[in-house]
Amino acid sequence: MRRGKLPRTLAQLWRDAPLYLMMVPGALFFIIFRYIPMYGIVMAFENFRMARGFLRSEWIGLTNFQKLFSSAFFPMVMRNTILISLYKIVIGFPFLIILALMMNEVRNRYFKKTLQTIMYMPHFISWIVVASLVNTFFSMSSGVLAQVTGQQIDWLVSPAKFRAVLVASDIWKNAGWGTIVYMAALSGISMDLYEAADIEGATPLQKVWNITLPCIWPTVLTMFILRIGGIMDAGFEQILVMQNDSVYSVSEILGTYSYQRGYVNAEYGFGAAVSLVQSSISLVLVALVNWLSSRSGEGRLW
Amino acid sequence: MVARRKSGKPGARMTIGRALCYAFLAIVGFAMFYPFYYVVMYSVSSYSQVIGKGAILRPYGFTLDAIKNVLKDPNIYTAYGNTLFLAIVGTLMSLVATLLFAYPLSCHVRGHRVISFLVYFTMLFGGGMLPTYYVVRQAGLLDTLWSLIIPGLINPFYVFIVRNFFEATPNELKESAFIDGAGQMRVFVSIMLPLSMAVVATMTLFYAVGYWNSYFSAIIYIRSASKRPLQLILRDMISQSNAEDMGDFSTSDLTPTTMKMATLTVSVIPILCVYPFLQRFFAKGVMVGAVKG
Amino acid sequence: MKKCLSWMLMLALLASLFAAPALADDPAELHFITRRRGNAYEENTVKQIIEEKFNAKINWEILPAEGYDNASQVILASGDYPDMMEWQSSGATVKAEVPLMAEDGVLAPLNDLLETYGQDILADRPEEGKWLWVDGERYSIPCRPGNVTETFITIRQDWLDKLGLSIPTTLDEFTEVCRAFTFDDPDGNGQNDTYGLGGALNSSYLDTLTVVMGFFGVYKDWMPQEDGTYIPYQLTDNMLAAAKYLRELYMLGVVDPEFISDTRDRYLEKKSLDTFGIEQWYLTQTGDTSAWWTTFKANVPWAECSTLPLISVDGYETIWPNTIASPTSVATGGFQLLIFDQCKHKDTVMQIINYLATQEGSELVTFGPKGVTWDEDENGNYYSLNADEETVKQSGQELYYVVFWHDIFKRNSDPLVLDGLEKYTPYVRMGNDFPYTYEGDTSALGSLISEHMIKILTDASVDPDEEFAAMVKDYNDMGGAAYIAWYNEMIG
Repeated sequence: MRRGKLPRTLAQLWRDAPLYLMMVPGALFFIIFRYIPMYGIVMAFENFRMARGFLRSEWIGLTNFQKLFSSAFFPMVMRNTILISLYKIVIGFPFLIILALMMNEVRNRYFKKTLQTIMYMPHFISWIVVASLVNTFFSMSSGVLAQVTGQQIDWLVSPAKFRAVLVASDIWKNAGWGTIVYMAALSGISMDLYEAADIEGATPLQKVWNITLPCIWPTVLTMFILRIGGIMDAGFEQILVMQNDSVYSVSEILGTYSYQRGYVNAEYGFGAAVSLVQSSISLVLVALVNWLSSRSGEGRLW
Repeated sequence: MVARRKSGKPGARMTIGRALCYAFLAIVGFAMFYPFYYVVMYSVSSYSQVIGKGAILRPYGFTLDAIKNVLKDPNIYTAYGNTLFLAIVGTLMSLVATLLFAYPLSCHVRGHRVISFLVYFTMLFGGGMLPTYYVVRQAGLLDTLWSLIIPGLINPFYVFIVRNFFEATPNELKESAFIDGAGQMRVFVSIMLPLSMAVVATMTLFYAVGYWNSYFSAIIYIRSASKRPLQLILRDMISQSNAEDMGDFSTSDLTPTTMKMATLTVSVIPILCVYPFLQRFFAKGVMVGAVKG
Repeated sequence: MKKCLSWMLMLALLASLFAAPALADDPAELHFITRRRGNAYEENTVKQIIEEKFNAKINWEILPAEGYDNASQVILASGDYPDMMEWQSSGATVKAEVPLMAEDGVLAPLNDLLETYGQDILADRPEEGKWLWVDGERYSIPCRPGNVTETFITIRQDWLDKLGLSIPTTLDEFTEVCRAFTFDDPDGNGQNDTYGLGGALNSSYLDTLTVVMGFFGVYKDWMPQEDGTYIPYQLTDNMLAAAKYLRELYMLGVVDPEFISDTRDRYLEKKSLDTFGIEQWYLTQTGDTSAWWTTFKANVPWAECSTLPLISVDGYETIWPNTIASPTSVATGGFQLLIFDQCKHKDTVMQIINYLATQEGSELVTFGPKGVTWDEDENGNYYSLNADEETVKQSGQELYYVVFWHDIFKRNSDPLVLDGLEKYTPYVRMGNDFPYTYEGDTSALGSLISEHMIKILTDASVDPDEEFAAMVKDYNDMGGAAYIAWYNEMIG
C-alpha cells in the first residue's frame, strides 16, 4: 500500500467509528436472524423430511431443480408469473406516481387529509376478505356490480377478464399505501423552486415535469428497483385465495404451483428449490437494473 | 423569513387540469372507500337480509351480534393489549434500529456498498421457517412477546427508503456542523433527524401497521394463550367459522362472511383513529429556509 | 402372648408405612396438544370429569386453528414433545413423516397398548391406517373413521307440491323438475331468483352437480376400464355421458352460473336462503347436521324437504360418487393422534383416548355432561336440556371430531337425515386400497381437468365430445400418462 494512504484510511475509520457503532444493533440483527438461518437453503438440494432434519435428510443434488424444469406445467407457470407481474408493474407503478402527483396538487387541506386516510384503508383488508369482496362485487349475476348495472359480465370466469380483476384488485389494495413514500419525498421539495417557476410563468404541467419529477426521481428509481425484485412473486397470497379452476391456466403462478407440490404434497425440497429459483432470477434482474441505474448516477441500491 | 401565504404556491387557481385532478381523485377515493364502507355495513347487518342486496348503503336488520361475537373471546382484550405493546415498543425499537443503521450508509462509510448488497440479499434469500425457529429458540425468545419483535426488527426495504432520504438531504448543514466541531452522533440527532421528520413519520406508520397486522410469527413462536396478538385471534375466528361442523353456529345471523367482516371492522378502526395524528408530519415546506441560512 | 402381639402390631405398622405410598396414587401428569374447536374455557367440566375418571392432571394445551399445521410442525421439529398431540396435515406429509419418526424412536409403539386398553378405538376397522405401520407395529391413531357417507340430498317438497310435480325417478323427470324450479317461480315471490341446482367448484365442496355424476356410474376414485387398467374417473366414458347431461342442464339455465366462481361461503349463504330446489347437506362426524342446515331451517321455516332418491339411467350403474376413503388410502391420513415415546403414562393416555371411542365418552365430549346439557328420554333418544350459556361454555370439549364412537352418527339426527343415509348407504363404495403418494403434478393435473370440464359444461361454442377428447390428450401430454402408468404399476 502506498505510504500516504494507510494513515488516511485509518483516520477515516477513526472519524467514522461512531457511525460503525451505530450500525451494530442492525448488524447483529442481520447476522443472527437472517444470515445464520441461511443454511436452510440446503433444503433445496435434499429430499427433506421433517423427521430427519437438515443434517440427516437424503442429499439429492439438483434433482429437485430437474423436477421443476422438466414439469410440463413449468412453462405455463413461468409465463403466468412474468405476465401477471409485468401487468402489475407496467400499470400499477406509473399509476402510483400519478396518484401521488395528483394528491400533491390538492390545495384543500381537509380534502387531502380525508383522501389520504381513505386511500390507506384497502391496505388493511387481508386478501381473504378482499377475495370475499371481489366475489360479492363481481359475481356474474348476483354480484353488486351486476345488480347495479343490470349487466351480467363474467369477470371472474373469463381468463382475460380475470387477469384484469387480479391486476385491478392488487392496485386497489396497494396503491394508496404505496403513495406514502412518494408523499414523503414530495414534502421535501423546497417551495423556492416552485416560486421561481411561477415568476417565469410556468404552467402546472411544466412545474411537475421540470421540478417535481426530477426531485423525486431518485426515490422513483429506488422504488422501481425494489419493485423489480418482487417480480417473481406475482401475488401469491392474492391468487391463492382468488383463483378458481376455470381460470387455472392463466392464474397459476410459480408460488401457487410450488405451494401445491412443495407443501401439500410434502415435497419440501421441491418447494425450497422453486424458492431458490425465484430468488436467483430476481437477484439477476435487480443486479441488472441496479447497474443500469448506476450509470445514470442515481437511485442505485448498492 | 418572509411570511408565506397559507396556500403555498402563489397564484393557485382552479384550472381545467386541476378540476380533472380533483375528479379523478374523487373517483379513486370513492372506489377505495366504498368497499370498506360495505364491510362495515355488512358486519352490522343480519346476513339473511343483506345477501344479494347489491350495493348497500345502510345496515339491513341492524345487529351488533357479529361484532359482539368477535369481542366475546376471553382472550380478545389481552390480545389487544399485546398488539398495542408490539405496535408501540416494537415500532420504537425498529425505528431506532433502522434509522441508526441507514444513516451511516447514507454517509457512505467505507464498505457501504457491500453492506447495502448484503442487506438487500436478505430480501431475496432466506433460510425458511425452521432454521429461523431454531435460532429464536436458541436465543431463548420462545413464547415471549419479544419473539414477535426481534426476529423481524428491521425491514430491509425501509432501510433503503430511509437511506435514500438521508442521501437526498443537502450536505451543507452537516458540513457546517462538522466545522463547528460536532461529532457524528450529534450531527445525526440534532441536524439530520429534525430534517427527516417526514420519513421518520412514514417509517413509524409502516412499522406500526406491520406490527399491528402481525400474526404468522405468533403462530410458531407463541404458545401461551395470554401472549397471542390480536390478528391471530381474529384469523383464528375466521378459520373456525370455516369449519363445516362449527357447533357454535346456531344464530342465523352469523356466517363466515359476517365473521370476516366483523373481524376486519374490529381490527382496522383503531388504526384509522391513530393515523390522523401522524398526518401533520407529512406537511410540506419543512425545508423552507433551512438551506438558505 | 402380649409380647408376640405387640411385635406383630409393630410389624404391621411398619409394613403399612411402606405400603401406603404405593396405595395412594399420585395423579398422572399429562400434556396434550390439540387444535382449538370451540370456545372452550380453560376450566371446563368435561376436562374435569376425564381427569377424575382417570386420575390424571392434564395440561391441555389448545393451539389456534389458524396455522395449526405450521405450529405442530415446529413442535415436532423442535424435540419438545408433549405426551399426546393431534396432528393435522396433508395425507402425503403424514405418510412421509410418521414412519421416520417411528424409526427414530420418537413415537411410542402402540400395538400392545391398543390391545390392552384401546379395544374400542379401532374395533370395527382393525386395518385402518395400515400404510403407516412400521414392521407391523402401529405408531399413530387415525382419526375420523370414514364408515358412512357424509351427506344427504334433499328436494323441496313444498315447491314440488306448489308446482304439481312429484319426486323425479327418471332423468327426464329430473330435468323437468329442475326447469320448473328455475323458471316457474316456486318460492312465489315474483322474482326469478331460484335455481334447480347450485354448487361451489372452488372449494372442493361436494355439491349437487357431483351427485348427478353418480347417476351415470361415476365415482371419485380411479376407475377400472374394460381392459383392466385404471384411469382417473374424470377421463372415463361415464364421465363424458354425465358431462353431456350436465351441459344440457346448464344450457337450459337450471344451474346457478356462479357455481364456478363462488367461494364456499357465498354458496353456503345462498343455500341457506330460499335459492336452490335440490340441495346437498353435509353431515358432521358427530351425527349433527351441519350448522347450515339449522340456519336454513331458521331462515326458511316453511320449507319442507324430502330425500331425493338416486336416479338410475339406462346402461349405467347408479352409484354414490363420493367414495368412503379406504382406510389405507392416503387421503384419510391427515388426522392422527401421536403418543410420544417419552410419555411416562402411556397407558393412561390410551385409556383416555379409548374412553372417547366409547358411547359414554363420545357423548360426553360431543354433547357435554349427561344430565347437565342433555339427557335421554324413555326411548333412548337424545334431547337437549337448553342449559345456559355459561354452562354450555364450560362443557367445552377439544377432542370431539377427532376420535369418536362409530354409532354417534345415529344420535341427534333429523329423521330426514336418517332416511337419506339409509337410502344412500347401499350405493356407497369404498375407495381403492392405495397407500402410495405420487411425487408429481397431481394437483396441477386435477386443475387442468377441471378447467376443461367447466368449458364442456358452460361453453356453448364448444363441442363436448371434441373438448373431452382434447382434455384427455392434454392430460396425458402434461404428465398424466406417466401418472396413470405409475398408478397401474403400483396397484399391481
